[in-house]
Amino acid sequence: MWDAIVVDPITNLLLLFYSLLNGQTLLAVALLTVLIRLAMIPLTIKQQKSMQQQRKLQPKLKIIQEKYKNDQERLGQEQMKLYREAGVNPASGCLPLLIQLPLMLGLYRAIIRALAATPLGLLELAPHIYRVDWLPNLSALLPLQSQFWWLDLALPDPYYILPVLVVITSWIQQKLISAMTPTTASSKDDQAQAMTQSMQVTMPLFMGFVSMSYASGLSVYLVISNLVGIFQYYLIGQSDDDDVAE
Amino acid sequence: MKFWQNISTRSRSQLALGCLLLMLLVTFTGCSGAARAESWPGLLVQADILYVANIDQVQAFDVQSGETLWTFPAEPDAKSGFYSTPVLDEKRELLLVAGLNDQTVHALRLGDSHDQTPGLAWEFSGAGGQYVGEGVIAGDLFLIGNGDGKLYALNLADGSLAWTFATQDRIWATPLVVDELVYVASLDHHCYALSLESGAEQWRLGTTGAIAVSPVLAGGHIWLGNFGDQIYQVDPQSGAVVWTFEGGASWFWATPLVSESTIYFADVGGEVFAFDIASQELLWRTSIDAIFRGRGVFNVDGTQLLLPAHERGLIYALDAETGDRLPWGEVLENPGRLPGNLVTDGERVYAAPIMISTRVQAFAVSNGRELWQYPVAEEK
Repeated sequence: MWDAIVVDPITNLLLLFYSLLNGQTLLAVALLTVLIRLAMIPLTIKQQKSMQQQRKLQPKLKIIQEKYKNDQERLGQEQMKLYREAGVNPASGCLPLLIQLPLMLGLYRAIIRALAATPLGLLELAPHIYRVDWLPNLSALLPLQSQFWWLDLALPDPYYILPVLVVITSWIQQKLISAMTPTTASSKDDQAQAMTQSMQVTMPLFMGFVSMSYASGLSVYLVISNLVGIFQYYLIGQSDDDDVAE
Repeated sequence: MKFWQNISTRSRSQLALGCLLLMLLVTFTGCSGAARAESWPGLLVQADILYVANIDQVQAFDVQSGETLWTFPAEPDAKSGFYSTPVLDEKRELLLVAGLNDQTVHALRLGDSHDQTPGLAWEFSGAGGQYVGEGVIAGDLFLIGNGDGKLYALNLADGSLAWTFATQDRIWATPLVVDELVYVASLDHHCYALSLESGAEQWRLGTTGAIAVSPVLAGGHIWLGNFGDQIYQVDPQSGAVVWTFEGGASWFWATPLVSESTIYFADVGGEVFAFDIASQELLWRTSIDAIFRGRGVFNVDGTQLLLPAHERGLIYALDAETGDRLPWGEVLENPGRLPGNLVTDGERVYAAPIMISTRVQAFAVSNGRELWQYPVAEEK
């Protein structure tokens, strides 16, 4: 089900790009990553707007928190009232993430699958390739040409260049995300801040570990995805600063 | 709940972060992207001994009883892995096995008695990639393709390199030797004809897809299928295409079976085709809900084809004349998968499933009854 709805279409799209780009695997991965990230921009903007709105409410929230610090039930009611009056749904930031995450994981799986390095991997890929008249014969393209400079895109980068790039770009992206996260001085937000700070270090390291362990085609995807994310968050951050200035 | 309230803010955030990372780790590692120990075991039956190159060992079995005669290496080594089927050099009493991950050809010197563990005659580790396809013996040479795109010709006497020939992509197919020419197919979409003596290229044929099928000789022509869903009949001397079949619907990966007048191709999409060798006429075509990758075998009198279906782990019996399915064997409770080739000694047919604990199965050719399996099944 997951394969048929998410992974198979992305896999076939990757093969189609590979065909259109004259057998350039790296370019096909890059183009697909950029397009999927661009397609998700409306969701990301919605998520960021929700965060911005929450940030604007922080001063009022702070007053409420101070006022009802000894009455948790009332505090909750007043916070919800404030959100309702401002037309903000505090959970709305999560919905785009719920849509983005399967897509990004689907893209990851499609890349790993399409870059099958072993015969068994290739055999398992065969039934997932579309065979329709209006598409070129995508299955005839396999196995993909995986050699690019020093890299075999189907294998981990032996010189750790891509894992380093993944860590750096992940760290910058996390830094930009954390800069947009609403901050207050309450104990609950201490928790959120601690979480954000931990994420800022742990996520890039985790991504670096993933990059070292898996096909370098996946690292290409991670680096490009991070770069698009950095650009996106930078632009959103700029517009946010303009709003504040106004 | 009280426990949650009692732990510090920092600990809570670390716990939540840990859970998130664990979730991501499970997601990533559960998606089959990491290197895994895998193989499709190669089988060879000769003089009442079944040789199996499996995921972690090469083993010899007594075909009657299924008793293990010896293993190489003595202890299983999951890091090595074997796709390549063993090859027997009867003249020198060598068993040649090539590892997937150790990228080495091992020549095992067989002992005087069947149950004697073989010694190592020589090793060749000069290749830069994985061995997937089976090798072939031609005179004093052992020819085998490698994942580095090269065909290696090794002197059987000592494993020294006689010559190499480079293609543009991996070689997963078994070379075919006819007279003084070697035919080798590559994933670079080409089939090459080389001089057996020097490895010099005589001709090359470009096709519409990668070629993982081993070329076969039938009716004086070379036949091969490819990942472009096509079958080619080629003149062995000039490389000129005599005839092409473009009605395929999936990859041709299983080596075709050849009888006196008919050649049979089975594809990854489950289609089986029978062509008259002389006229190229399509005699019959049948469709089965299966994936055919491994080479099948004929029954004793050649009236049935037995084909291993990868995903379902079943062996299908087809009437060689009509393509009709015939009753054969029984549905096993847990069949595993069958990507590798079947072999037969006329009396029994042997299969080596993967992804289950059973490594080797022997069935009666006549009716498909299971005769033995290794390891022996536990009593229920």
